[in-house]
Amino acid sequence: MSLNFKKILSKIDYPADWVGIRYVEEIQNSLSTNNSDVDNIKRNCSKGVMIDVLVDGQFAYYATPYLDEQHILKSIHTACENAKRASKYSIYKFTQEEVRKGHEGTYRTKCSDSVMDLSISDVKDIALSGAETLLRPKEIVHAAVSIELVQRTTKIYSTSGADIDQKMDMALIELSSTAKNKLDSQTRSNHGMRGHCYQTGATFVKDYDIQKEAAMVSDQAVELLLADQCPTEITDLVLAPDQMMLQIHESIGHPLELDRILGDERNFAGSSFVSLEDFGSLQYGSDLMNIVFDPTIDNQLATYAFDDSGMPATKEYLIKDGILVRGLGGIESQVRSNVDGVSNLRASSWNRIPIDRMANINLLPGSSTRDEIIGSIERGVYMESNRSWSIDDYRNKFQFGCEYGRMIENGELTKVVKNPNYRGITNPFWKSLHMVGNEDTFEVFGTPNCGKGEPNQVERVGHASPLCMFKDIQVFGGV
Amino acid sequence: MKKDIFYTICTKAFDYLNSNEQLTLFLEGEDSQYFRFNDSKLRQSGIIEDFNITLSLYHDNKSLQSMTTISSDIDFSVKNLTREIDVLRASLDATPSNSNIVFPDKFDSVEIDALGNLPQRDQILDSLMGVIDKNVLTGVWSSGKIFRGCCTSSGTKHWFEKDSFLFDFSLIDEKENMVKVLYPNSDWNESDFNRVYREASHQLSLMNKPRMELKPGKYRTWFEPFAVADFIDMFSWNGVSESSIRKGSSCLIKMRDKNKNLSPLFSLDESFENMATAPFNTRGEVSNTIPIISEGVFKNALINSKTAKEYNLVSNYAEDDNTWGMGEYLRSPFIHGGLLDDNDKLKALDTGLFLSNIHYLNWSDNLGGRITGLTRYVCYWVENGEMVAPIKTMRFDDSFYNFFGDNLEAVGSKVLGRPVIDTYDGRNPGETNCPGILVNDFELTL
Repeated sequence: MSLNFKKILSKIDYPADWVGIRYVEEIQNSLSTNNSDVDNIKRNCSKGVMIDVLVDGQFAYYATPYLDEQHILKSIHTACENAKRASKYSIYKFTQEEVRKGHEGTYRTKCSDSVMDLSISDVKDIALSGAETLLRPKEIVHAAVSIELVQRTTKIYSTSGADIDQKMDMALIELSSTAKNKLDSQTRSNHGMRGHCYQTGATFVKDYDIQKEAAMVSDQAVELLLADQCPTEITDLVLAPDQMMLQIHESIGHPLELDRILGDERNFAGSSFVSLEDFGSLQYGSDLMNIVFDPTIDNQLATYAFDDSGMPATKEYLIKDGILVRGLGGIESQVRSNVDGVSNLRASSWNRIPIDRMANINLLPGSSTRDEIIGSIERGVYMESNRSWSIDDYRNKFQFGCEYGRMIENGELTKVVKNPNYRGITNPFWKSLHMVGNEDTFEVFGTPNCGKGEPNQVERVGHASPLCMFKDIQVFGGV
Repeated sequence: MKKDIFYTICTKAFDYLNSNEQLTLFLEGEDSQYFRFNDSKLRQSGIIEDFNITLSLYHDNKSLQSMTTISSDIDFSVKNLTREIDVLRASLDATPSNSNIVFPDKFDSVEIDALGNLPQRDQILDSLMGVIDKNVLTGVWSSGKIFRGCCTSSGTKHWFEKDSFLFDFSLIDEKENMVKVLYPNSDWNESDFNRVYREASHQLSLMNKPRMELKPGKYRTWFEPFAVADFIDMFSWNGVSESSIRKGSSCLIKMRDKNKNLSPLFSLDESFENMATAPFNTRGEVSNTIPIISEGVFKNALINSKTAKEYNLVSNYAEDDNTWGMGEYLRSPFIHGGLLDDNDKLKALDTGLFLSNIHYLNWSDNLGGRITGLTRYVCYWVENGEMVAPIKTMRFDDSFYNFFGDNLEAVGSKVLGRPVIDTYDGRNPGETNCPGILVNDFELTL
């Protein structure tokens, strides 16, 4: 990046209330295997700027990949004129003092070495070693390894003095294998589709025990092939942390987004069963439920120091002892709704504006051991690793499916069951949260695939959870 | 972006190649105006210029890919491309050979300039706000040019440029009844928009009744074309792909391997005849119409050149993997219309469910063809061919082997094109063409 954005901001000739420039450069290196061969080696190098202006209380933006001083100045001018024209129709008159304060600071992923230090040879060797292990059982008809390494640099400057520089290194390692016989085929992965991703460095990838993970994935794919269908009944349900990730995401994260509650998303992602009046009083779930927005956890996927509006990010309780206390809304939604929020205005890249997003949304550990949870159940089902998700536009009626299930009988995990699914309604489901695992059961995951916004954006979010048990849930299997 | 500028950028990139290298360049671009509304007021306004080129560098049986951002400035763009070629070149030695990698054949040039009459950017907002009623509209307007282009070092040159707008909005009343409108075109006509808006407003007024709560069970159901289009979208995800069939993860395995058929009323083609989208893929290969399911019988999967090479098949030039890791997906699906006249659909339904749209679909059992999702927007109970009341949101979970199979009673004669609304990777041309369908015993579960 050779452009001097501060100098560009000093040359603006339009009487705007505020102008900001967010430069994003993201490099992705990915390698995937198809059975025993390297299938794809891809790189993605995306650079550009998002110009955001405030004129007469109305924001307008202009995104461009053309990093040229004159073009950027011209784009700022165009955005200002658009904001001026649009200001007579504003949903809310923002002020720079309220929503673009101008903070300074830096953030770097905590790691000793960058994922960009890994060569194609390094990654290829790791992936092929995993692929070889995945293909060992004779029932495996297809196996794949995918390793994605990402480095994202974000720099924010503004006429109110923002000067923020954040650099994140990320890695995603995905293994999957499909076992097939004459009657069925079953696919198993490490923790569900693209669920195993972190902010981390090269050492994490090099030290990853890919053979151990690969052996587990393929062995369980074969187990599933021979397993009975998950039974259809109302029973106790134990969810592993890699399924709790999805449960938290869909039935807590999205419904608490203030822009959904304010109605911005009703034409696309949907609304929420939560209303603005519910904050501070709604019994969201059982009193074992403590949910935090936590952008401070080392190596979780959505850790950062500042959101894309330039606001400093801190850990906050969203739900405390089962009571809803705070919304997932950035500074713009906070001033519109007068509800406490968090610093979560995030954009997928330079070509999208920040909107209210999840970051790291975690369920805090409780006090039960794994043995206590399983041992307390006379009959139930244990489910692991998401493979199917669907929930209505108000985030009430959900149905989720998992890759791997096991029966719980007389306090012990027994036979494997395939195609395990469950369904419920958000509020009664969380009220049925009966036991929460302790620190020993707590695991951290993330997903790079959270979709929202118009135009659409896909965002990286992190979720961590202990093992959890829910009472009297409808479970069922496949056809 | 102008066609000649794109071709010039490509030529300069090809000049940078060594004699033993080959290169394909695929452009995706947009120059778009967006307005986002909530409660008939403006939430966000912006312009997005976004141009990127995917380079695939070939050397013997090795291939590496890179995507980089470019602009209409030739020097800026060529500098970015040659930098990426250098990066890929440096990685070639470490890249293993793969016998399934083949450089694409040369194809005759396809050039489509679908120019229209778009509103002036500085007049759009006033024009829309002159029609929109207070406090009812939430949604997004997008307009401008969409670009696709592909050049290969063996001489293939394709260009696709389309002027288009899409007003994707919901009208929402105080009781949160909702009507969804997708209003796409290439030629702006304010009086036509006014007509569409008034029709939607009238439809919303009909929903102003107490909502019925249905019990889980099996219901006779009419699906409007856009609801059918959502089911067809599922076939792009572990469905029509030859690779997914071979790998044991396709919902169509029963049709291909076990001779399971759907209803003879159901036919699905991949068809580029209406030129709504570019008929060439990221390798520059040009597709013709491909019958996938004809009168309920499985005919062809979508096969890209890599899969063809891997399994010794003939490619029908399906797409390579996209940024979501999905390949051989439907780019221009067409479901054949049937005999049921649109004016007779409620009479034919008699008593049952009318669903305008469905929401958030996913496989609940991929191999069994079972799809779960929810009702959304204009969904109501019908008795004796007349609307009785809107329904509360219901979850369904049923197999397309039922609702496109034995339970499919009739197919509408009117085929509607639902524009692609997904903008994750930018605005997209193209549409899914579907009729409505009448189905027996559709299963609601929650």
